Amino acid sequence: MPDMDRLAVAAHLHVLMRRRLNRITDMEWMSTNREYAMAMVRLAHAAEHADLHEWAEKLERAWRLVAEPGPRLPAVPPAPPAEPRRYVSTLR
Amino acid sequence: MSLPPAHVLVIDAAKLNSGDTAWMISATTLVLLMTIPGLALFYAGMVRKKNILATMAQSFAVCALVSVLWFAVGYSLAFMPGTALVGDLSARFLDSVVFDKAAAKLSVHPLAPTVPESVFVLFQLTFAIITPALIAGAFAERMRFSAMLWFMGLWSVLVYAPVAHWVWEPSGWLASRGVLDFAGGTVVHVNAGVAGLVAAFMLGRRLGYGQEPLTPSNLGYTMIGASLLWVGWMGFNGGSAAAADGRAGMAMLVTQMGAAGAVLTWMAAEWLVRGSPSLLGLCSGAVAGLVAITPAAGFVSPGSALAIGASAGLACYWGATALKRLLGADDSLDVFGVHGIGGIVGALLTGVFASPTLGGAEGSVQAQALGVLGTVLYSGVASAVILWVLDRVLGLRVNPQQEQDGLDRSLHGERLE
Repeated sequence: MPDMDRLAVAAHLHVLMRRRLNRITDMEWMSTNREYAMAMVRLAHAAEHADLHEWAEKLERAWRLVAEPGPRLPAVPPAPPAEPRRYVSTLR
Repeated sequence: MSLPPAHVLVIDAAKLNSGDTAWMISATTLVLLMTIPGLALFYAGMVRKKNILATMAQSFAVCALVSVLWFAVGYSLAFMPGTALVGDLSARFLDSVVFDKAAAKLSVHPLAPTVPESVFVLFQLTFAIITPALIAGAFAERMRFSAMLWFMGLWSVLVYAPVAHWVWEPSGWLASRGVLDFAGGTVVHVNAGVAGLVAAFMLGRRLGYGQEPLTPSNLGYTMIGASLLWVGWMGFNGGSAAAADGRAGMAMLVTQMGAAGAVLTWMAAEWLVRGSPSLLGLCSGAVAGLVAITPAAGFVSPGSALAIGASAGLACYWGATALKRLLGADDSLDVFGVHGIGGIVGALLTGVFASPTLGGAEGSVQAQALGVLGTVLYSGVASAVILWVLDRVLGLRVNPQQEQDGLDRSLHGERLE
């Protein structure tokens, strides 16, 4: 599957995860990094939404078609800076 | 022309004061602007994206619902003499409002004798609208729309109207004990804050509360809403003088000072505790100061207003953070922390700072505490009873799937992209 198609599938999953789970994902990273993509697929499968399952499977299929891992990229994206636990229990 | 109730004054139109009337019409518009769109935007920015439209819909629907109830019975229960506890029904369906163009006669209310009663009715209606609309922040993101409408309607008639009568109608039991509440610190803010806290307890916490961040969708909306509230508050407090006079001017001046004082102390507290001053903190500080200066606006000097605002900024910051954690209720948008605490601080400090020279009344902390206590008890118990009955009859809360999907889509069939 061409890279652009994988990106399109990742974009769908990104939007659905934002909508359903209120979770922000990195869609470009999902289309270029297998490990990250599989982690997002697992998260989507863990949720109880049929459309999430459908698009997670599509992304999984898209990645199965990629014989070799793409260009070597760091396995794990750099960890984001630790965020304070803002908006947990209190708004202000 | 039907005869108005005996205690309603029907005067010659020539005896009206056109300056007072013009100002009261303007002030009324400003206060209406506070709820739609002010409060709607203020709240919508603090909820998650999936609940923005539902939150706005609540303010809008409450505006319409309370208007009709005010016409039917609310105004009469609040502002007709009746007993010390509630007004009579002599002005139901606004029967007291007289306007005869041919005879050049019209009715006025004794609390605003130089403006048409129609303007007084509408000015007071805008207060009756914003008070229940404030409560909606406490149960944001999880209440059924139908239950919300029933609650707001019943609360407006059974809680707001009587408390307004106690405090503002000269025969009310708190008014006759010397309780000072210039523009609604007790009637509006303590009342709504306590009802909000009770509602937050009775509806339970939102899914994910305390475990995951419930991130505000757009604090830009909140800032615009807070700004509309701040500007509209000039009509809220300035209009409560019921005249375009020096007292109205002083009320507006102290309103600005109260808000400014609270913005700065909330900001300082947050900067000190959290390491950064947030926009939400600045907006919250402004509302806290405006709430606290509301009961005092016609009675205190600019210096006292700064002190009241500064105290409210600190007290409400504590109310929305430490006290909130202590209480454990998911008061989603801090209605009690800001309006309840700010209202109590303002009411008590009115007793400390009220100057007879400015307002013609001596303040008494004891009387103010009685006003707060009476309102807290009645509002708390009556709100709990209304919610309990509605929970049994209708159910208050959306189901978990609806909550997860967001109220915009699950209750209103709309969503923001």
